[in-house]
Amino acid sequence: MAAISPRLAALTAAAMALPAVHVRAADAPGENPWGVDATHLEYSESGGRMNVRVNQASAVVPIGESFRLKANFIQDLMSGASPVFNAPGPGGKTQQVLTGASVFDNRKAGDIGADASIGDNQLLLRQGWSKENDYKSTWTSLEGKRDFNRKSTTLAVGFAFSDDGVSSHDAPNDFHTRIKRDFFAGVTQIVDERSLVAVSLEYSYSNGFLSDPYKLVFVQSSGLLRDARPDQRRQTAATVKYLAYVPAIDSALQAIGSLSTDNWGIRSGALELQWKKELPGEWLVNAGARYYTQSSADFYAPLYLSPPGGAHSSDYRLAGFGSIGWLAGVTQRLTPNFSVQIAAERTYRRVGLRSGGTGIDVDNYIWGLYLVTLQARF
Amino acid sequence: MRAQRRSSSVRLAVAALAAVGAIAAASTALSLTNGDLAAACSVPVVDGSRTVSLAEYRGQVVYLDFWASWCGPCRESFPFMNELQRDLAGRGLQILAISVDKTAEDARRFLARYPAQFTVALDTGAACPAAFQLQGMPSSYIIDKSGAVRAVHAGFRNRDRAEIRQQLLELLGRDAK
Amino acid sequence: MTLAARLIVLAAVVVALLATAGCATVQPWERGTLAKPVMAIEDPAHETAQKLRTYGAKEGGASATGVGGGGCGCN
Repeated sequence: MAAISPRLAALTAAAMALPAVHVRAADAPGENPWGVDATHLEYSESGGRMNVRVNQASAVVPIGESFRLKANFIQDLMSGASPVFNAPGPGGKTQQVLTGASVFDNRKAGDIGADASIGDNQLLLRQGWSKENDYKSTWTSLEGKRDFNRKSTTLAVGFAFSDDGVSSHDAPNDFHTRIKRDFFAGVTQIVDERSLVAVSLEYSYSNGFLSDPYKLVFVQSSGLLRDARPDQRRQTAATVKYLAYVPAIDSALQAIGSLSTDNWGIRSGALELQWKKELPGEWLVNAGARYYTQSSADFYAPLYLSPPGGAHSSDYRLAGFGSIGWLAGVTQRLTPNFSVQIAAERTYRRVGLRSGGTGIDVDNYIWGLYLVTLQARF
Repeated sequence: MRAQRRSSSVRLAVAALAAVGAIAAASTALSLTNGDLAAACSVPVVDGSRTVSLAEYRGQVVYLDFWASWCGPCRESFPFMNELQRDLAGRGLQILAISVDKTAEDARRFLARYPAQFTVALDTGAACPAAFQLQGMPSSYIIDKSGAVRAVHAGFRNRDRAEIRQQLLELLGRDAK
Repeated sequence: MTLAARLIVLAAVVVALLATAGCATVQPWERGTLAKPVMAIEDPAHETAQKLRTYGAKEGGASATGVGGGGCGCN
């Protein structure tokens, strides 16, 4: 496989990562309102590809009975090779061309937030920042929640706005901008004494420079072109979650189904099933499996014979593919104030599982992650 | 044409969500309010030795609390009720804490971690919370000497402590003629 | 109708169905099972955050995120 100049850093997976705009703490307001969390996560891909090491710390501080302040800090360290483009190889089989020697990239991100709880209502405000050599992002989110029917129904609506600048190692101060607006609405409803269902809907609109500065496209007749995606993207997604306690096995079973579509032609679906059980001694275990499939973007092709008109990309993340993976975790409450959680996940990405469009075998890989979290609550 | 179709389906979605909101907001709940006579309630005490009923406390100020082993704020309300017992039992206050746990074992496990110096009873059949039209967990009812409900507290928060104390002192002091 | 519009209508219909028929009334004192730790419909915040970043970075699709709710309904 040909090598590319190391100056073409290809750790754009992180650069293109979504900010964690819609993460809500699961902690109930009121009890043990002070909290500190620390997480270490390691992610790696097969075939000498990307590795990411993440360290995260967060804190929650109550202000009176109705307010909470939150702060979160993340540091990512990325290394490893990443595909740049696909080229014809020996025997007519397409092959991937990766970046060369390990490239390092360091990302720092943080966010602060304020939550207000008044009666059955909650308001959550977040402001975040992310910075690395060739990418910066600022985002803001606002969410309102209300409980109805003696807390049998919870309704939430939210909005997030992010403003990003993407540059490249070749021209690190030459930023291309893009903005993203996210709208979210969801409802959780208790079905009966031992089950509940949650439905949520999300719509996002992105505008600006949405291409990947480190990806190229191979054209048989004329050589390499830069990755060029449309300057606008609209995505709609719906998720249904169903959680039920099954007394016969003293466990909870959870199913999560998602569907999404966008104006780039990418349609995706996911189904996750999980089993969760409490064990004596304050242990909690969970295990599950996830299936995912997507169709390729309209403007995606592994490579081109002649120069494409309009948008073009060979990025494996816009290809048609599917994946199957397992996930598992263990949580233990060490003392009334401290708990520790370990979780692991492994996913097999396969072009054969795609729901539509095209993709190539050589893009198949396996990714895995594990994480450890320590939680203190006072 | 496509824009029209998209906006009409968005309108439909908004209408559906609005309908949810309207239905949810319109569902008012009936509940026991101040001045109503406390419902009849007869339950076994936790050690199983006898049955208590609210009627036998007529003539006393009663702090009736509904709790459960799975109720987080109850971990705070129990030490508070111990304080009330220590400070006000001598002045005639009667505390009755009724567990709505489905099994006695769950209730006893909670009591092992959060011991109570006041009277604790079990209502595994949940007849009493239904009679009181409980709106949330935990709930406490302050009942005066004539058996009428004088205050209802749904939930237990830090700021409730002072308010509850004040309400009880008022009732305990009022009829001390 | 576009697929996106169909998704929105489907979600709205599910929501409307939930709001009207189909759900047994659960009294506040009957929420013991829902209060169990395994019945938390929202995963611990960190796990979800990491996962969403991974899925968002590795997949072209999106998924709508969670609302919370359920639980013991206390306070």
